[in-house]
Amino acid sequence: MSADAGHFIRGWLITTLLITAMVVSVNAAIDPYLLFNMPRVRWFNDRKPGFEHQERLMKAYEVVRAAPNGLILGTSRVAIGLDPAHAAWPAKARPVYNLGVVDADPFTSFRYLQHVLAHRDVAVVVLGLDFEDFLVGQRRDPSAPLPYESYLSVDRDGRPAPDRRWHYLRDLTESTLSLEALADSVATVRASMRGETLDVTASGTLSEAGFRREMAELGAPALFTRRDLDYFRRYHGRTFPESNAGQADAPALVDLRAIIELCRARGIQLELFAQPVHADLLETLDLLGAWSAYEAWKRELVEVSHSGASGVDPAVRVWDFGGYDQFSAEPFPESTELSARLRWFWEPTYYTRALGNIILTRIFGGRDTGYGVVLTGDTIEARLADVRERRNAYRASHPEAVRRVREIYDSASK
Amino acid sequence: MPFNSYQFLFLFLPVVVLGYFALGRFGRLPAVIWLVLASIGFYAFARVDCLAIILPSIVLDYLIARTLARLDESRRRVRAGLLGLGIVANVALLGYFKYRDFFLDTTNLVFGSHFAFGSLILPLGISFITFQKIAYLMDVYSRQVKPGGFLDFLLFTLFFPRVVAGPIVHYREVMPQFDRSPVRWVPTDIAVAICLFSIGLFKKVVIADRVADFANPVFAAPLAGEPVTLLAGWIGALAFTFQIYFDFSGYSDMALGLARIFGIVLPMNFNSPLRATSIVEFWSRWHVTLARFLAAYVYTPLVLSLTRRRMARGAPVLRGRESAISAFLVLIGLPTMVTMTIFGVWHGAGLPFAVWGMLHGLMLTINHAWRTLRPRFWRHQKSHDLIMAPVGFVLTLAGVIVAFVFFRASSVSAAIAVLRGMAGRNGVTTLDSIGSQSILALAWLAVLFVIVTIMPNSLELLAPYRPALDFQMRELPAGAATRVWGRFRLRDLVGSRLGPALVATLAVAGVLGLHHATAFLYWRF
Repeated sequence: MSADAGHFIRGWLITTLLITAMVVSVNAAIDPYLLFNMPRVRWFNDRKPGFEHQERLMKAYEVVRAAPNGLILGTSRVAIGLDPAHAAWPAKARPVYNLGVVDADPFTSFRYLQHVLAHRDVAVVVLGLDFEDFLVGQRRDPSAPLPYESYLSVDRDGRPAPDRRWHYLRDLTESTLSLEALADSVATVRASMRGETLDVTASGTLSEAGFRREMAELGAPALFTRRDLDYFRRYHGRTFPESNAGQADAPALVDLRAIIELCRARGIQLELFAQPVHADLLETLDLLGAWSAYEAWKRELVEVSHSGASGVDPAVRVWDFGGYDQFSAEPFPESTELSARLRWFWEPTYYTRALGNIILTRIFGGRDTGYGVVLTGDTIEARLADVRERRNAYRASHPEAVRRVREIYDSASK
Repeated sequence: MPFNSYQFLFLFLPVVVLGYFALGRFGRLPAVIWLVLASIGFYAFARVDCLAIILPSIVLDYLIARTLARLDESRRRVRAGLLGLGIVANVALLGYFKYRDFFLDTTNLVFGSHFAFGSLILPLGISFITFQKIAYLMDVYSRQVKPGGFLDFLLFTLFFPRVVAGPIVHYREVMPQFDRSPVRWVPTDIAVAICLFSIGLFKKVVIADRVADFANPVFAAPLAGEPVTLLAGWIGALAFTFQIYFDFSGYSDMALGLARIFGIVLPMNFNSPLRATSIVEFWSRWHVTLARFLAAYVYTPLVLSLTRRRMARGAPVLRGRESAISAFLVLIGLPTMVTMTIFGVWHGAGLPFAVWGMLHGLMLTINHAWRTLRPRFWRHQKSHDLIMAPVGFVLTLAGVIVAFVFFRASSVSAAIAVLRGMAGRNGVTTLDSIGSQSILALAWLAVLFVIVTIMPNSLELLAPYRPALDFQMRELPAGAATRVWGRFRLRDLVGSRLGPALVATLAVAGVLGLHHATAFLYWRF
């Protein structure tokens, strides 16, 4: 029995080491989280569906390797909608890395910007802003570290993160010695063999595959209805501040100011933009009584971007793409085929890359196409009045769409 | 420091084991001191103040036990008083830390009072430690145990493999083993320990933590005001049953394995309870050491006391199948309900746990009634066994699953909402009710059902090596799976050719899952 036991222990030890070595090798070779900078080989590991679990980890490492001169910051909306390779980007911004991450609030954008600037200077930053992030009550415990911050090279004061080496070891372990990594390695190979799938490109852009699939399953009207309901629930019961600049319960403005100050200090051209949303969402906001708050938010953006500016400050601009226009008023396709989709929007707040290209062309093209307005103290009121006027026109020209949103609102309010 | 953590596996455990065997070369005492210090360190790692609460209580119990042993039978009343003091002190400590807030909250609710209460820390493993110390005092009182030194008592109370969640052991079961077992590396013990720990780690990290994902949304639904449909309800309830099964069974295997490294065989705590064909049998397989504690120190004394009273009054007592209904209700039903209610409340302060215990009390009473009265009208044992084995299996499984809804739910009303869903009150539903995960959930549950009912458990796989005290090999159900396992000699995991590879795979999978590991459910109790 003792001989059996000795044989068992030896066998167990050898097999344990072999299996462990095999798992580490497989995960390192497939590199599902982009930690090892392994080459992306077609049919093998060129797609990275693992970003669904580890996007913040992946982008923290990948952005440093990409050595960008231009950055896109914001939520998954910019990560999907803005193309870092688009021709409109100025030469000084290239290469551009899309550092938009899912559910990123301005603080997250600030921390990732700090992380990049700890490694290199950048020339241009484009930051997409969402009204939702600026609502009252988005408190954050200032002392509590957030999980993703351990991926970053610097602390909140911009000093080298003290535990970074340990965190790097942890990241290595998680990327090689975890069931999740193994499962994502398998998913990576499967996705690479299939082609069209959720993915993050080498320049940080998230694929539109998820929306393509959802649109094909549900069709545009059903998808919009489902999301209209989601956004109603998400905004319902939230406080809409009329003016909250500098208030303790509006940390997003404080964080935005920190981003602006950091960019000014580092001589970075900063392009802030209020992201476009479909008219469905604008109507929902109005039904919820949030319209004046939506306008107040845009005024705050102007105020924050200009406060503390020295004399001439062309480096920080605030763009407004949120309003009624030919893009946001786009109706559902006439075809009843499920595959028929809108050209400019996937759902009420996610715009397509086609619209993202138009936004980039507007920001960097230097030509006024009538879409997107630079907000300043001089232009803000006229812009708000124009949006209101266009809203009235939309309601007159799209009564069916307005009624549909109203019905969703009524049913959800019950 | 949970067993399923990197710190424990790759730092604490190797240091303690190597230190133990290294110091063992200098004699038993240094090794035991090392083990005691390691156990204190293990306990203090969670919160040092927990140690500050538990240690004085351990000292008090030790002093009482020494005095109880010293006093002879002529000082009977003093001894009884001392025992009472020890029990009251332990129960008061447990009551204060575990139930104070619950009672104040309930009092405020019922009487409109405004007693202030804040969240108290709950010393780690206090429920287990308390019961174990009470058992010790009673054993010393009845002269079944002779107290050793304080070091031994510390080791008995805080031995790290079982301090947080059992098994609840008797002093006489475990402490003599420390004297007998050699303080050196015994290959058979190490091999058995590796098997038990690897299987336990896999059960916890790979199965329990994963299957929890199918249960959590269902039990969260009532809190969000969302209805639970029939399919979702049953998936949620079954998923939680498997979650707690593999969580607790995994923990128990790991505890047995850790103790075995030091040559200590702990009592069996878990033995494939979902194979049971009656609720009585279920309780001989689930949380065995707590069940035997309550049977020995609550149920049996209560039955004896009630029997004596009835005999004194001339009232009928139990007489097998001829028992009167009143005797059965008072002498079986009442003690069972009281014991199982205590069993439920022992898990936590709150009505859902009490309801869970009472439901089991009711099921046990019905089961006992059936066993007692059935021969009156169904005498043919063979036909009874043939029919009632499968029927009993289904009824027991259904009863256990339904009762666990109360155990898991955050309130009785939330449990009822889930049960309403399971009864189809919110529609029979479609697979879409829990999204695209539903097919995956059903596949998981089907595989786990096969594992818990047909496949040999960890103790059976290690039967030749005495993996646990009180474990007796029962015959596996006949079938193809049994033949396959038998073919590869997997009833002897250590001696089989496939054993090392199989156990290594489980161990590596367990370690790979540590990143997302969660606390053991029973560590809360």
